[in-house]
Amino acid sequence: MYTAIMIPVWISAKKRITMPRIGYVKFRSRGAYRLMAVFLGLMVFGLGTSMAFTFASSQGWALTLKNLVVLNGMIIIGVAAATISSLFAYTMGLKRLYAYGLLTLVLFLTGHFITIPFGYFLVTIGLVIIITGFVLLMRFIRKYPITQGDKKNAEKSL
Amino acid sequence: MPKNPSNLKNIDRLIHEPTRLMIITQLYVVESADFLFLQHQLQMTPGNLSSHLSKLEEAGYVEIVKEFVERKPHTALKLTKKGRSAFKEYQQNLKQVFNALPK
Repeated sequence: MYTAIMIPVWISAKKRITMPRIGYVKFRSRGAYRLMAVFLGLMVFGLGTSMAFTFASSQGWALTLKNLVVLNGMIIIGVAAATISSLFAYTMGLKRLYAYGLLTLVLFLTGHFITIPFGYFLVTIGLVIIITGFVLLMRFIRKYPITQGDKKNAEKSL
Repeated sequence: MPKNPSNLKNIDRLIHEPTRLMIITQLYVVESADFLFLQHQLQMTPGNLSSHLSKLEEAGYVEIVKEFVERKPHTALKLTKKGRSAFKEYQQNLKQVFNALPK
């Protein structure tokens, strides 16, 4: 559901905010292949993990696995989130995703040792991402105001 | 003296001009870009960019595609096959000249 809402919003924001300010560029396929490789890698990893869990359950290790996941849930989520963020940061060249991943890892590792309700972590991470995004958006809009006039005439003359 | 200074004679002067070299370098690493993107990247005035693009288009190095995106005019720029190979040749020629220089 998140993806279904966010992708159209992201595309629309790109068309209305980014493109009129800094233009549009279509990269050559190498970057797209990288992103595709990350998606495929994540899918294979997810499938592999679920198959391993199914196999382990059939061998009667279900309880041990359940305990392992429940007891170390915060660490698992933190490491998974940090890994996925870093992969996207590397693929898309967005350095702030490394910071988000690190923040998630630190918060969830802290949560493993200190008992704080799970929701608080999600709210903290969400707030940091929203505030950072808003600040970056404001800076971007100020730095690149929409200019017309000269550009339109020059484009027409081509 | 460089071993083969004649390579400098083969340098494509249309590409060698600094502004056009910047335009071609930008377009070489992407599939296509629009006018506004290039203008921002190269910090050029629209008129200046437009005149250099016209020269590159005349030479067949750049393809200019005019289209409408959501009822607004949009100019997409792309390096042609000819432009791409001319730039590769330009790189080769320059490399040979520099490699021939004593260290």
